[in-house]
Amino acid sequence: MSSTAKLDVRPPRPPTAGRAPGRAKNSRGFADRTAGYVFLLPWFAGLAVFTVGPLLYSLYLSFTDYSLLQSPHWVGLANFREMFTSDPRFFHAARVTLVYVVVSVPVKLALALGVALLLNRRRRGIGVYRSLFYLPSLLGTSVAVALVWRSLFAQGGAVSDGLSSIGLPKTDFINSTTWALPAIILLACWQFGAPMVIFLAGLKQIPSELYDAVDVDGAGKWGRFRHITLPLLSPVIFFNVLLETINSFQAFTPSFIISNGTGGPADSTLFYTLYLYQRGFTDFRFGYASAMAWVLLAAVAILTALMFRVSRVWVFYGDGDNR
Amino acid sequence: MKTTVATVRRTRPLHAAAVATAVLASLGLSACSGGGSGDSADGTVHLSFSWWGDATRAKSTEAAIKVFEKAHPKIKVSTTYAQFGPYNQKLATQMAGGGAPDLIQIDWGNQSQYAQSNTLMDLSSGPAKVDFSGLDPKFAGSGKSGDKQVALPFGQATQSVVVDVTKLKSLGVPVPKPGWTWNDVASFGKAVHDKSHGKVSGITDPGITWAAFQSWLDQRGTSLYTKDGELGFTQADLEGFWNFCDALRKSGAATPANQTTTFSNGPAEDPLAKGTTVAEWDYDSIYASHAAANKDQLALLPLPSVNGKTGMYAKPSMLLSVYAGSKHPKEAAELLGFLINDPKAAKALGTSRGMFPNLKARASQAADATGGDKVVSDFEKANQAGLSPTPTAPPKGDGQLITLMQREYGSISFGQESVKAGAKDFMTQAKQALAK
Repeated sequence: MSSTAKLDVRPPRPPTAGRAPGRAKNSRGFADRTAGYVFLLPWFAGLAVFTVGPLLYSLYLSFTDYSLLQSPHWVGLANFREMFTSDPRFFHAARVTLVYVVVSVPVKLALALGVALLLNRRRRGIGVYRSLFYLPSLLGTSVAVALVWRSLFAQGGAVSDGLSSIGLPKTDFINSTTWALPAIILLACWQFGAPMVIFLAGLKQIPSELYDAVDVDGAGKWGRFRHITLPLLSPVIFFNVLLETINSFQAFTPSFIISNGTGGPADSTLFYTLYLYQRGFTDFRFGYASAMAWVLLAAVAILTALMFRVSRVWVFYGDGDNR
Repeated sequence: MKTTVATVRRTRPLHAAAVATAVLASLGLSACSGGGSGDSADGTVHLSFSWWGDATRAKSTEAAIKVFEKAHPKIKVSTTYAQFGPYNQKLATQMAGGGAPDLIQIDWGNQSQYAQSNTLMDLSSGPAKVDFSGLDPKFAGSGKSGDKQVALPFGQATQSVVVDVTKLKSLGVPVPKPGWTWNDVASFGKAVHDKSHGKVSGITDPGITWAAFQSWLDQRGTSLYTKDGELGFTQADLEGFWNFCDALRKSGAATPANQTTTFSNGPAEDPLAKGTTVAEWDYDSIYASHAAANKDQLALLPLPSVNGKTGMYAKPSMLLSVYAGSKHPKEAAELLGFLINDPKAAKALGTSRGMFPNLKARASQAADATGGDKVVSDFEKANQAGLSPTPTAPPKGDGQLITLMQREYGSISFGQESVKAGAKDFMTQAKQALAK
């Protein structure tokens, strides 16, 4: 390959025989691009109609008192002002969601990484194990699993009965202000399959020479993990942390199903999205609900930017321009 | 080494895009409208009819619809139903999107809201005219909004206390007698609690129930709302009710907080069905569902009283309306008329929605009622004389106060708030909800 090709990060072009140079090449490129855009048109149309359109409309609604049945009236910043000055449930919901994110994300990722490390070896039937561990995350977001979870942890459910058979007191986890949120967090952690698969892919990319090298240096198991696995996996860890955090902020189904849509008992599982939903669909205050959605977007966007900033310190890309 | 880096690097823009989409998706608050009703080429009219309730009510409703379809071979009716909470959320969305079913069951608490937004047809004249001369005119008036008849009651219910007779017998506690007082509730509950060694409570804590508070107020000469749709009671009134309930719960006479919250899950999953309580406040129209969820023998009692006043009244358990956007108002009105007037409908529906609206049909229904239906008819008959007058339709926002009550009393009973603080929060938020 020539020296220019080394700098070219794009994937190599397929060899095209007898390509005309100059203008002809450009017009060919133009035709290709046009064809590309034409093929993308359905997607663009979908994006405009189903995503960007409603998005902008909800931005407009956030400045109105839209009540679903009556047409919206402009109220300026009133919704936002109410949220931050006279709505205790807003802050409560934000707090519940933060606890959920801060606890469930690290625990889930630690589990995912741990299992990925165990599964990252050549062994008979390892594919079966991988599929088994991945399975919960396929089911996890579904309503059915949330329902199963509810009956498992409710009074007379398998978990409560199981614990009482080993001498612990019978607990109705779902209807306890102390245990309802932990039960939902546990459900989230159980679905570690998706990040696990990504970790596995990342682990497979680590060249075995490096492990050979540290073995020669006399590092133990911990040393291998600490000095080779962790730094080389850090981009993948960052990717997973980011994705899981953003997803967790938007968790809705488990709390909606498990609390029967109330966020109860006594608001102990009132996730931000659930409160947003209640404001919209039970209180008929769609303007307020839209405003809440935009506050969530802003908060998650700021958090994401912060995480990218901090990532410079601990994520190792290994290509020299890492600071 | 290089390959690792390159792979991860290349995925970054892509994952940024994924992140962006994920966040954006959370904002998609667009309302999806349901499909309207279609028609076949052979002139068959397809009607849609939606209502809330449980499996017990579904059975009787389907039976009534079958009778109607037999008499009207050119009309096909498709029904959908859901639990009360989700049903109202879905209906609101359908109304906003213009895709509500032709015939809809609506709650009295939402009637003003829908009437004000012109989503319900007038049933006294025009294309959706219904003959409702067979109903008690005062009772039919509950479906009025201004001079428009926007809805007609689909059943008459009365507040009651459902008691588990079998369990009381096995505990050796006598079934309370009509005319019992709130003090009797406390001593009865305590007796049940003591005799069962704390395993069973006397009554499901009524502190979370908005309608129980309504009767409590009526017994004391006040009401939930003023004529102008503002709150008709003071913070002190609410504190009085909650202090009483609080003491009931603390003595063991009423259910503990974690069981009380399951009351809103419906008769199949509530404390009475689970056997952790022997009495529960509910409308008599729900009796059939309680009976279906319970192996024990149940009975209905009038509410505890003050100076002989129970505060019970004839309430439209639910109402029927024709959607303003219906393509077949005539056929929808025909079905509505059948469901509130026809003796055959009365026979099929039983008391799954309370007493049948048409008085003649109600009388014949009561005459050959058996089982649970007989319990309800007898209960209604026995208590008719002492009923308070039916209040006017609750103002817009009433639905929110029902959940607000559950929430605030929930915090109190879980020990997170004092009665005073909870009542204060309630008043502030209730005023906000009614002002919107």
